[in-house]
Amino acid sequence: MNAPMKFAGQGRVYLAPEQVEEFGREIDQIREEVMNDLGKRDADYIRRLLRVQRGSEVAGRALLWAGVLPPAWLAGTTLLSLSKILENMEIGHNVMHGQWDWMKDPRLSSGDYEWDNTCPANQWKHSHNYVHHTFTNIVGKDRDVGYGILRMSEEQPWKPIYLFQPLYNAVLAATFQWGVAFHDLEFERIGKDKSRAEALKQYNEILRKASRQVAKDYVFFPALSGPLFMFPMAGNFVANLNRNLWSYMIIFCGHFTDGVEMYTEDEAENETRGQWYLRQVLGSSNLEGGRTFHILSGNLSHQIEHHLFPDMPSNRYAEVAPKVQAVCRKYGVPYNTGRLGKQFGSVMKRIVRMALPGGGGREQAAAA
Amino acid sequence: MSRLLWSMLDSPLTRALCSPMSVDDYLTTFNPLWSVHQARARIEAVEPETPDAVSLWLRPNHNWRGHRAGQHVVLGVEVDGVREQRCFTVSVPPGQDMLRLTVKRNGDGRVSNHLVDHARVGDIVELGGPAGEFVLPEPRPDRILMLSGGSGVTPMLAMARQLAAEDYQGSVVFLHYSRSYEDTIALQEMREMAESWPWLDLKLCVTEQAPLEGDHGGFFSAEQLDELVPDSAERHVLLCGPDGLMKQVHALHEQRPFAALEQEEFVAPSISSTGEGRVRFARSGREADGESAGTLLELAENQGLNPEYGCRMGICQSCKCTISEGTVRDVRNDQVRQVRDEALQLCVHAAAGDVQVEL
Repeated sequence: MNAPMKFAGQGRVYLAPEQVEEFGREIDQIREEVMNDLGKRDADYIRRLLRVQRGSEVAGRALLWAGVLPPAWLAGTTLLSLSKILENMEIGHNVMHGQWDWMKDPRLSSGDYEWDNTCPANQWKHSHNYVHHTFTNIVGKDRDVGYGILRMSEEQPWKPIYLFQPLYNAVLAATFQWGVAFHDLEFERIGKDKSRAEALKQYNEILRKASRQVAKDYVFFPALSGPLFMFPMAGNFVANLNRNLWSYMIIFCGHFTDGVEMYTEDEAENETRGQWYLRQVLGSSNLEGGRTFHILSGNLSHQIEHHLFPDMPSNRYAEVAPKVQAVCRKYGVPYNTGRLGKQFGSVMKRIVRMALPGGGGREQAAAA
Repeated sequence: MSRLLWSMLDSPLTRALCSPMSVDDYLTTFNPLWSVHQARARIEAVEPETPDAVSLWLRPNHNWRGHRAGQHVVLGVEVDGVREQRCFTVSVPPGQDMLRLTVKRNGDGRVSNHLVDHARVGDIVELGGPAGEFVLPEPRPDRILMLSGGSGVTPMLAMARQLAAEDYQGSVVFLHYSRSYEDTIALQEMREMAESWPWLDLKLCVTEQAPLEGDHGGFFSAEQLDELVPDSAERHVLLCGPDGLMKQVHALHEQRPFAALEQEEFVAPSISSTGEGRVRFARSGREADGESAGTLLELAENQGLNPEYGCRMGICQSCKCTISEGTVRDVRNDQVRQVRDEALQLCVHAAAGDVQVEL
């Protein structure tokens, strides 16, 4: 074993290398069972979800067309928010992970799918599927740790600008899809190990995608209402805002809650599959809730399961979660889960705490 | 809905309103048959033909372009959640509002077995094509020999009805081989055709059962052909059947040619070796060794890509895809050539050097 396995909440402890691999094999076993069982019921699930999402989008836009009437505006905005949340979270994100490629349906193929978001799908697949899911919580490699602007771990050196992070964090939450859109440009690498030409190519892609999105939401659909264009325009704005806030909240609860482990590059070097699985469990945290809540979160409420099995259809996470939890219990691996309020509160606390220098509070407490 | 309305639904404005989805993504939410370009059909009837074959009657949507008698469709069906595509001959001529496909159980064949066991009225299927060069010759020959075996009868049924619709004035001998009466697809239909059309002479051979009066027994042979069809050398032969029958008829044609021989091939090409070089899939950015699979289609699938495909034997053109640059080998005749920006069927081409595929 090349790096000590960190266990959240109890400082650093070691699990024997054989045990780590045994743990990995049990996790693999859980995956195999589900992947060999995929079939009609899963296909029915995603098709039904597509119908609900498309249906609510069409109904929402139709109501917003008549948005001059307050009840129509309210209902239309709600339905459009719902549709955008479902499409980005439970459909788009998961389709782009390849969760539905096994169906061989070109409309659900990770290679072709483009989502209702200003971020181009191919850039998302690079920054998210590859960078974030491979190097999860490795400070310096996983660019989702603070998205290049926030200090989320004591492993990130403190700078004075971080004093303002509670403020600009709020801006990020409200404009989340734009943060996501420009994420893969990797500003900090441009002119260093990333050529300006490559960045410019990406930038043009983002511009093309974003202008189509903006034209649809803020020009074409409002124009259909003629002089009453303001109402659908405002409805689209609020729906995009709702989706931004919701996806921000769910995504920030995935890796920044209290007790989630961050890693250094050294710690994660030359990992075995078992060690990779362990890092995914220790670096992720779940949210508890009902079936509707899980679907609205894109099943990212099962963040741990999603990080272990990013290409498993998300409707299966709920049934594998107890099995994963049982394996974790067996090996004494902490399984971080809680209600949204508690988890999100701890994320906000972290953002405020990390705005200030230091922050290795947990280890000091453990030492004391 | 009228064609005008459909074309209005597929305009730059509707596409912009639906972006980044397609117009179809929304249309199918309301009705699975609605589409601006995809041909789909609803199963209107399922008729048992034999203990292991059924006929499906399909009503296509407005995107179906129509076929020629003898051609096949690439049928897209979902089997346990997985979308599969296979070729099936249309066994009725064009010009009707429904298509008939006859599907026979086929060993482990996922699609055919699924259709025989589970196809239900109301199911929606996708239609690709039509495709196939096995059609009635132009101009119509005066003397035709339709020679078929087993489920090879299906294109013959379409062609015979097409000839009837054209008020054909020549002569057709319809020589069909089947194991037993119970196993014969469209037995009653063939008999009725022979009764109503004086120009059609039905010769039915059952190979594993005593033939009824007027029918015949035994397998195909030169002697039997001379006995049943004395003027076969002057006839234009249309052939479709199992591999064994096709080979025998071909051998005979080499020895003593028929007036002409045309056939439908339902035989996969034999792939002699694997590919070579390095294959790059440009759109997805994936790469693989040409050696790792027989054809470019298999190679793409091994890489987790899901290109369209149908027959997997070079017939239906479903898997046609642009090769931006490279050296490929046609596995049907082992010819190697350089291509640049050319659409090729992935199922019958292998890499013969470095290849870039637009997938």
